[in-house]
Amino acid sequence: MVTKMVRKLSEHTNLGLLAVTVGLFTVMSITYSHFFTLYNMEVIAMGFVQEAIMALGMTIVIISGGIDLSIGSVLVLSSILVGLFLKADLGVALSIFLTLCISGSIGFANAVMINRLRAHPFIVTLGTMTAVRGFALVLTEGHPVTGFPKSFSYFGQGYLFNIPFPVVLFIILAICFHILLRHTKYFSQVYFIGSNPGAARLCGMNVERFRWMTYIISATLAGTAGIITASQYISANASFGIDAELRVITAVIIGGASLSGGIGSIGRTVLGVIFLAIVANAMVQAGVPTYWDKVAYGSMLVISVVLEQYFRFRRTGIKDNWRDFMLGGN
Amino acid sequence: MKGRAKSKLFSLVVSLVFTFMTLFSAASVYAEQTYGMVVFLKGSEFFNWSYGGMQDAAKLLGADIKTELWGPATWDASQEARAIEQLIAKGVDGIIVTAGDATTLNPAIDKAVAKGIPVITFDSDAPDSKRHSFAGTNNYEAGKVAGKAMVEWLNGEGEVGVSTFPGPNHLVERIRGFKDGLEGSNVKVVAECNDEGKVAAAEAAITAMLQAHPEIDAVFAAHGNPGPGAVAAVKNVGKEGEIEIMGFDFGMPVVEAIDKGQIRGTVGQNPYLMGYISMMMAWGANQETRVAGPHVPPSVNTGVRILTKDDIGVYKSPPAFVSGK
Repeated sequence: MVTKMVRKLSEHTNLGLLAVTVGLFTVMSITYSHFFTLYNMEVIAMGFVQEAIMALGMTIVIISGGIDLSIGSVLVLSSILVGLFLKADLGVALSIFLTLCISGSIGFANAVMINRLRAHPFIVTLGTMTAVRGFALVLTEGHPVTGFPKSFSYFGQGYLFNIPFPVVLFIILAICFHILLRHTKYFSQVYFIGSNPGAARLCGMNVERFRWMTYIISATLAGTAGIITASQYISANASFGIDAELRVITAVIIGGASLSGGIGSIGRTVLGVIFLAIVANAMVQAGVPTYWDKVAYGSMLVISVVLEQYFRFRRTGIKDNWRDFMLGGN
Repeated sequence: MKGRAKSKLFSLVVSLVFTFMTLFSAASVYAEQTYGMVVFLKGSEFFNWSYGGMQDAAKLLGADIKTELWGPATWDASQEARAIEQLIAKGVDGIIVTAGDATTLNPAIDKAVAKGIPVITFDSDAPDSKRHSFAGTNNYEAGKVAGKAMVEWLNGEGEVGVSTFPGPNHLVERIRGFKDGLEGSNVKVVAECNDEGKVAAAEAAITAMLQAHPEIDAVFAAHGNPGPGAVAAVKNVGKEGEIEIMGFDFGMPVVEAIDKGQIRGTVGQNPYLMGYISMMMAWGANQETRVAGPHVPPSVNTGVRILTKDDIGVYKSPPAFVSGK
């Protein structure tokens, strides 16, 4: 009975990660009185919400067989641009609209280059990542952009139904993308395209046009995260979002997406995001010695991957017990 | 079936044990008071000195006072703000922070202060926040100390070239202080060159300055980078040993040049004291006295010292805080 349940559950979610997440959460709640408080839950959520929003776009990009390294740079450019537009008195709505358009067009440029040059997305987006961050430095000359109107601070600091607005936005976006990927014909192509682009092309799918869409979504979400960042800190600085793309990719991959494409889901990514957000907070709560935090972080990643592979093997019946799994060959 | 259930249980236990081990290896579960330091570049030599000062101060204040060091390993002010938020949620007793930029940390710092947690900034300030105090170098005073030392070096008479770059306020202040320090002597600043803040550009700019002003007796590097550039420039014009060089800070290239006798001395800031005094102030702000209010000064100048070959030795090996505890 239990085995059946486990098997069923592991088809829908990353069971190894779920076990580690629940375990970590329980241990932390029992041991540290400051952990399981409403305030800390808010801090956990807000401490990773930018990455969480970007992870939704990254999930689609990765399922389609691509990767987008430029999102951290798009985030910083967007936070600076929205700041500069606001200071130029363009008004909140227009500033946000323009910023999202520019962010989206960076994604479009990524896709066009990948399509036209037939270059690997890793190289293309590595290029835009560097160039865009450089451009952010050019715009600011290293000084922070600051002094935004009061009304703008809602997007990063406001509350909707007692929940921070960015978190509400993330939940809405996650539900939307989940429905799109699961229940619409157009978006569910992504799995086929990601696992076999050649065959998808032969079936008459427009792989190139689909790629436009995935990279535009990814960059626009990064732009959204940038606007939230600027609003949250009432300031924008060219240092924002360094290494954010790595945290986002980690969240998506640890959730169970495959870098070779075709595998992944919004639900799994959300779990990955929640896990990383809790880990970051747990490090501080437990006072893990500062130079050890990355070691602890990395070992938890490895543990969850080991467990997930174990459950996957069990499900597919390749290796049936723990001994075989740990000691057996391939 | 039995074996399967067993192995499943085993895997769960393994995951929990590992989680436990990684998290509690040296965790301070029952510490009575915890003070956190947040820096924008974890692992930097300068901030390691500051954290060393903080640790030593905490030790003096009592065995039940614990310290922690947090912050990103790459410069990112928004990650610092997150670290402060996490520390607030953890309920620490005080936060000592060097701001990655002057504005980004303001909301997080203000939130901490609103929750009754004293916040002290050090080295790099967030002046518009509600922080209790700032401990760092007063750059005007630092320049003045450098100017007075220069007068001594040149026996009250000579011409000085300054290497700096336009923009940063702390450099403007240092040079203003330097010139005021020269007052009352016959030492004068005859030229200023633009080193663009870089070692390589400094070499070219100082070489050009020395060629245009052959009467220069000494070079004052207003920040860390032009010191080694000045050494190369003096070599370029073939005046080794004739021109005195005063550097700023004690980065490794400067320390080495002092050891070799190429730079006579450097203006040393005091990161150790910044951490030490910040810890004392954060702790002090939590103590109740007969008169209400946190008794901390709005700012503290941690001062500078001219370091020469005789006393640079201590800065050759920065403190290593492997455990961060």
